[in-house]
Amino acid sequence: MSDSVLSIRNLQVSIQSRDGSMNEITRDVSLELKEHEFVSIVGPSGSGKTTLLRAASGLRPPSGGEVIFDQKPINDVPKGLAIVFQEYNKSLFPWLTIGKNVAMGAAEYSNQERAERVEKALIQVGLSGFATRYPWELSGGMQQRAALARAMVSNPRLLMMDEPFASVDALTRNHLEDVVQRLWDSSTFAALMVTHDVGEAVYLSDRVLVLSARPSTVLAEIKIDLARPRSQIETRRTGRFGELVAEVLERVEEAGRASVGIEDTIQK
Amino acid sequence: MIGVKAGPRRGSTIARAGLGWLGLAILATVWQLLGMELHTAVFPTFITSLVAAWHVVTSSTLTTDIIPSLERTAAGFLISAIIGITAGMVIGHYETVRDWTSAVVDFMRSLPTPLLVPIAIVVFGINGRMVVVTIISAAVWPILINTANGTSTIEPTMIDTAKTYGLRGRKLFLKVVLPAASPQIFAGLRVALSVSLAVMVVAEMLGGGSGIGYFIANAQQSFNIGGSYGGVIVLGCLGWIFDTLFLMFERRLLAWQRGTVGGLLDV
Amino acid sequence: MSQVQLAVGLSGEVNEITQRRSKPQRRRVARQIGGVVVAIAIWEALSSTGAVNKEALPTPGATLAAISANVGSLSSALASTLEAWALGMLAAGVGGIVLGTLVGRSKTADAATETIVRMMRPLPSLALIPIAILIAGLGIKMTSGLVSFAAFWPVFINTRVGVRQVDNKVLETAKVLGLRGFKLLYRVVMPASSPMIASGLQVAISLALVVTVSVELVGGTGGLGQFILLAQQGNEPSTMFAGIIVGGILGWALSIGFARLVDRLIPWRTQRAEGGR
Repeated sequence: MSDSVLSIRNLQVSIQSRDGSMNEITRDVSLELKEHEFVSIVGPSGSGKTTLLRAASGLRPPSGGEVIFDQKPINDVPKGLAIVFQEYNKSLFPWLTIGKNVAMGAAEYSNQERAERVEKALIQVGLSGFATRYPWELSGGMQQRAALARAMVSNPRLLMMDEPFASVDALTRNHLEDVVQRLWDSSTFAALMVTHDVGEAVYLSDRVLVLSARPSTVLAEIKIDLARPRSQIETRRTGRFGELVAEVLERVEEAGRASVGIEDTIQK
Repeated sequence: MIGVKAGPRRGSTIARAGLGWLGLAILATVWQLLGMELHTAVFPTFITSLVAAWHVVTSSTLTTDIIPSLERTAAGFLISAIIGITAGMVIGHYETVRDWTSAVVDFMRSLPTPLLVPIAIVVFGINGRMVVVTIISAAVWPILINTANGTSTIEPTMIDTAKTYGLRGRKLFLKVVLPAASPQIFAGLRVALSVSLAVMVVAEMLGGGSGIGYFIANAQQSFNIGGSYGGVIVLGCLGWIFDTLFLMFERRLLAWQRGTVGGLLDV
Repeated sequence: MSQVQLAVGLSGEVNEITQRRSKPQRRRVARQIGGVVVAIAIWEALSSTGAVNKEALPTPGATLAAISANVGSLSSALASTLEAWALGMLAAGVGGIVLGTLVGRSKTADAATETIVRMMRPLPSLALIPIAILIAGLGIKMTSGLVSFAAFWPVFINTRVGVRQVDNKVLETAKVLGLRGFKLLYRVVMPASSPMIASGLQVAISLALVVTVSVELVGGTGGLGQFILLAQQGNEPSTMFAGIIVGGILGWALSIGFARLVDRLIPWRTQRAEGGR
């Protein structure tokens, strides 16, 4: 498939645990991400979603399988791939102003072009005029928008997001979802998002993959045939939206029931 | 660290500072009265000691002892900072290195450093170089350990982010690890600064050949009691000046930390 | 603790980070021992090949031999150092905690001592050795007195800050529960500030040992300091090294011993003392 941006083939990840034994987190996950496609991965707690994303982006080596980005197998975070993490307060560097944080994403450009790109990215996320502020001076939602601007500043081919809206309140979350949607609509990048919020996955995605409990495999793939552009009120009001959410939720619940035993061992 | 609260009211700050100086004045008065009451040569009054300190600073002692001491302290402290920060970042960042070195570092940092002075005298002789080496052997540990702690407790997300933006190797250390660990590094540097001064004094007493420590010990042995007290007061003032300058420098450099700088809060 | 575990349970992904950070305990201990072995091997290589002058760096074997040849004098030196250290530490610990608590509970006293503390903190107590000799002469009284003066400050400063930082909510809760006066101090304020006090004591313990051996070196008042000084005058580098190694082991044992004690007495310290000092 020549038009796929990212292909994950039979990815397997094991992590060494405290007592030295190997813990299989991801057993067998495959997925193809096409140009300008928005795919979300949802799964029950402890299904290793973050681990999967870290392996898929090259931040940690997989134990088996491979990841192809742009026709090339990756063993490190490749150019053209940007990541937004859940914890904006840990991913923005507190000693850099917002402008300098965003500029980190555009290190390869000349000074002048970098300044222009930073300015443009900040406008895109509605933060123009905040370039000289420090992260702590901004609210959580604004900080996460700054993290988004930093990811967008280099025009990535693929944007990965790890629970990007999990650390903000519900209203801010809706707003951030629309910021992401607008960025995606007006650009050409493909997006891969990991989340535990089923409504958010359905609202933003073209496809939703449901992971099984640990060691995880892809349990189901649900196509989201909602019209675009979507809106928080109109889209969520449609019956089709409710049906899709229910369908995904059903699969997640199935996976969750199977994982009860594992949850117990974690909490112990 | 002595607590600095964000944006205290101006009036209460002044009141606090006033009370602080009042406390110091009371201490000086007690010293003065005690000295007058005891009336013994070995415990001069506060004013006598101040005068003696003034004589120390205005005499040739300034160039023969005080300035060499400052140079040795500065050299020892700076070399310790370079070694301690570099080694600390490596030890903190790589878990394997940390495991291999931790027992040895633990032993070295608990060794009471003045015990090394006699052997340092055998190796280097009675001179400033011996003093500098002794300072390093003591001051490097608080810096190294604080840097290693600061480095090993950096949020993994921060390192992930840096890697995502292509920061590797030396760039990763300079642009991310160093600033992220800097609050702890500064705490270590501040401890190391007072350790440097203390070790400088004892090394000079035992075999500096010159320097403020040598001067104080020499004054005592030749029953120049005023000189001893004056030297200690001068040293205390130097320590206070160093500490104050250091805090000002730290506040500037760590201004990005929430609430440490008034200007940011006013925006 | 339960909250932390709950958080881990709710988002299992967190596990990876903790697991990435803590390797199996057994391998860690093996590496630490390996590190000590490597350090001794480097020491051996440096001294026996003559890369460093033998007069300056005797071999590990020679040092070990010197330790066993001087067991008698070393242990009496050790006992004398420990005695002066313990007396000074006791006075500093009790004085620092009591005064620190009193000052920390009163806003006025706190402000009034601020400048004194700022001036005393960086003052090298070691500079006072000659004056202490002048006033008290040579002897354990002078040594312990100076040790307690030096070790007092970190205990006092940390106690004061710890007591001052006790959360108002905790105090209000205690008052609602009817705790007043001494009971409030003993049951609430002290436990709440104990992590800070413990880290002050930890600093004081090492500092007190440094001051003890310094006085012994400068004043020649017995103990490990004088032991090393005598070895230097007798031109016996391996005996000097024997004293240094024993001093290192003493310092190491005192600080490890105290850390273990604190772990037992204040098991919740690591969580509460975050950002302390």
